[in-house]
Amino acid sequence: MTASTILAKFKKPFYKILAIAFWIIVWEALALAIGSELIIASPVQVVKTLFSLVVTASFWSSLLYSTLRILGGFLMALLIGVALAAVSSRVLVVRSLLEPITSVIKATPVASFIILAIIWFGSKNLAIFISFLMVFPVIYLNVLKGIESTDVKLLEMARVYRFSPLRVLLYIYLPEVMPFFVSACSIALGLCWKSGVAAEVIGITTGSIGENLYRAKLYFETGELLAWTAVIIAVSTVFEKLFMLALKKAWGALERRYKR
Amino acid sequence: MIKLINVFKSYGKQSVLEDFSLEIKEGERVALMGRSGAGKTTVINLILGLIKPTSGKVVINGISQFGAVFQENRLIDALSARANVRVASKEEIDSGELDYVFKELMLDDEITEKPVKELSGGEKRRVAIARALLSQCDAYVFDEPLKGIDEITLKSVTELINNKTKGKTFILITHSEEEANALCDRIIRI
Repeated sequence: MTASTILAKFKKPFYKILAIAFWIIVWEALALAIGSELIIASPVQVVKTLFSLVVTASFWSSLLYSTLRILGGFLMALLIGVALAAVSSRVLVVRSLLEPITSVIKATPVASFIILAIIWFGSKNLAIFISFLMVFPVIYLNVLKGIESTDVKLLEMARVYRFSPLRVLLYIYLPEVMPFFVSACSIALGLCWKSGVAAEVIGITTGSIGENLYRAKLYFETGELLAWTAVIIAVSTVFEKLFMLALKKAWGALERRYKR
Repeated sequence: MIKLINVFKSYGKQSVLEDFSLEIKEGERVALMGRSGAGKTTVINLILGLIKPTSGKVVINGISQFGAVFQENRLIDALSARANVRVASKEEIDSGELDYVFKELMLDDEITEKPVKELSGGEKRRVAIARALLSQCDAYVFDEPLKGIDEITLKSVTELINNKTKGKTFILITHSEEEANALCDRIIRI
C-alpha cells in the first residue's frame, strides 16, 4: 500500500473526527459563554455526569428495561410487517384493509398514539407498542414494494421449470426484496429508539430511560439530560450497526450457500 | 400431445389469435413461423400455461414439464451459469453431462463460474439453451433460440439441440427457414 492510498483511506474518517471535534469545541464555547449549567451543560460536565451514572445499578437496569421493550417492539414489527407484506402481495383484500391503517399511522403524530396507548394499556409496556407502531409501516411498505418489483418474467420462468416455493423465495424474491428490507431496517432502528423513548417520557414509565429523562427535565439537570441523550444515541447506533452487520453476514452466508 | 382448439386470445381490445387451432403429436418437431406480431409467442405462452385463452381450449396430454428458451433469456443474474442450470432442474444433474453440454455450447469453465450478468448476450443465450436441454423435461419450447449466437458456434449449438431433444416434442419459433429446416420436421405458418 503506497503512502497516497493510505492517506486516501484515512482522509474520510479523519474529516469525520475533525467535524465532531469542531462541534464539541463550539458546544464548550457556548456553554462557557452562557455560563449556566441549567441552560446548557458543557461537554466536560456531561462526560462527568455520564461516568457518575454508569457506575450505578439503576443506570444499567433502566438501559436494559428500555432496550428490551424498544427492540421487542422493533422485532415484532419486523416479523409481522414482513409476513403481512407477503400476504398483501397476493391477497388484495388484506392489502386494501391495511392501506388506510398504514396511511393513518404514517400521518398521525406519535404523541397522539402515545396518549391513546397510555389510556388503553397504561405505561408499563408502552414503548413496545409505540416502537411497533412506528416501525411496522416502514417495514411493511418497503418489503411490499420489494416484492412488487420482482421480475414477473423470472417468476414465469420459475413456474415453467416447476421451482419449489423455497427456490422461488431464495433465488427470485429474496435478492429483489433484500435491498428494500435493509434500507427499511436502517430507518426503522433509528425510529424505534426515538419513538420508544418519547413514549417513556410522556408515559413516565417507571424504571425506563424515558423516566430518567423526564426527571432530569423536571429538576433542570441539563447535564443528566444530555448524558442520557448521549446514551440513547450510542445504544441506538450500536444496535443499528450490529443488526446491519448480522443481516449482511446472514445474507452473505445464504448467497455463498446457494449461488454456486 | 398438444392441442389448441378454436382459440381466441385478445389483450384488451387488441385481438392476437382468432379461431386458432393446432395439433402437435408426441415426439413431433414443429416450427411456428410468421410475421412479427402474428401471435407466435402468444401460442407458446398458452402452451406453457402462462396465459389463458379468452375462449377456446388448450389441451396438454402426457407432458408434465417443458424445457423452455424464452424470447428473453430469463436467467437469474446473480447466479453462475452452472447454478442457473442446476436450479432449474428437478433432479441432480450429472456433472459429466453438464460439462459436455457446456463444452458443446462453447462455454468454458471461466464463463460458467461467473455470475451470468457478466456474460455477453450470446453467452447468456447459450446458458438459457443449456438450462432447457438439461431440465429433465418431456417437451421443449424454444422461442428464437439462436438469436444472438455467432456463426462459428451456430453449427455445434444446432447439432446439440437436435441430439438432446431427439424423440421428444419440440416446438420452435423462428423467422429463419434455414433454422426451421435444421431443427424441425414440420412448419406451421401463423
